[in-house]
Amino acid sequence: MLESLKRNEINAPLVGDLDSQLAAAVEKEMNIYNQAYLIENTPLIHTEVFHKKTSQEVPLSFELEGELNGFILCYLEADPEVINNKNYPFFQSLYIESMNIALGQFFTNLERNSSLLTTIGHPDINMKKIEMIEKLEKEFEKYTWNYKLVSQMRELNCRIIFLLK
Amino acid sequence: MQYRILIVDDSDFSRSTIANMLTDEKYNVIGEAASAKEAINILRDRKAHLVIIDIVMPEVSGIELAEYITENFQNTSIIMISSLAQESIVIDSISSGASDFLQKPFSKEDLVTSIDKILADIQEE
Repeated sequence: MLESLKRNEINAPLVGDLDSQLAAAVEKEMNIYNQAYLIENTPLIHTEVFHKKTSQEVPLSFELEGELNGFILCYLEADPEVINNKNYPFFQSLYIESMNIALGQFFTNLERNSSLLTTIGHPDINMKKIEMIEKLEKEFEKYTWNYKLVSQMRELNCRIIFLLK
Repeated sequence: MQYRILIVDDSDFSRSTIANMLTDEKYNVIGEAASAKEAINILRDRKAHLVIIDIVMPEVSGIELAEYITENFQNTSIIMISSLAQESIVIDSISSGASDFLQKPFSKEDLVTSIDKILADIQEE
């Protein structure tokens, strides 16, 4: 599917190539219920490079279904100067819902701009599944971008990686 | 009259955010459920005027839950919520019996306006 999309061999009215359609769907800034902001930190790029989860990152995965298939991996950099045992449940819960909202808006924008209908599954924090997806990364086309999650006067980095079949 | 409302979402953050939006004394949040199964158990115990349901949940989806509620709890209205707002998702929501659809993140004003309109329509009937 991805190859045909790149060559624009589908009936949907595509504008530009897939890379620019994906880049255009990224929401630059989002207000998460007045409790946090997501601010784009680096733009979406098509990449060959894949960095697995580091020891400081909190990972999260989503499954993709529809005209784009594959997985999304998200990693929150759990800076120990910001996140401690007391506030971890709040930040984890805020982060999961923020990624859900950012990706929901992304695929809503993608459909409106490019008629590509893709949906995401529920957020999954199962480490075994995430490690399995990381091991298979070479089989996928990879796209990545970063957000800053700003809440309670603190900034945390979130990276998002699309693994598309 | 106090309106009895149930919130169904697998996200702890989302459930508590919505509950905090409904602090006006005319709303009574009768429960928060993290799954369709929990929601049905609560509804069997306590009547609700309105259920707010997230679409993307593990195991049983919000759409399936809305269909079940429409069939089995006929005096209960539904608002569907989701971060995805593609046309097909909005159509599926309304087809499942929901009275309204709100894309996440929504404001307190959007939620309260939607709830008040639905509950006013019920009172007129």
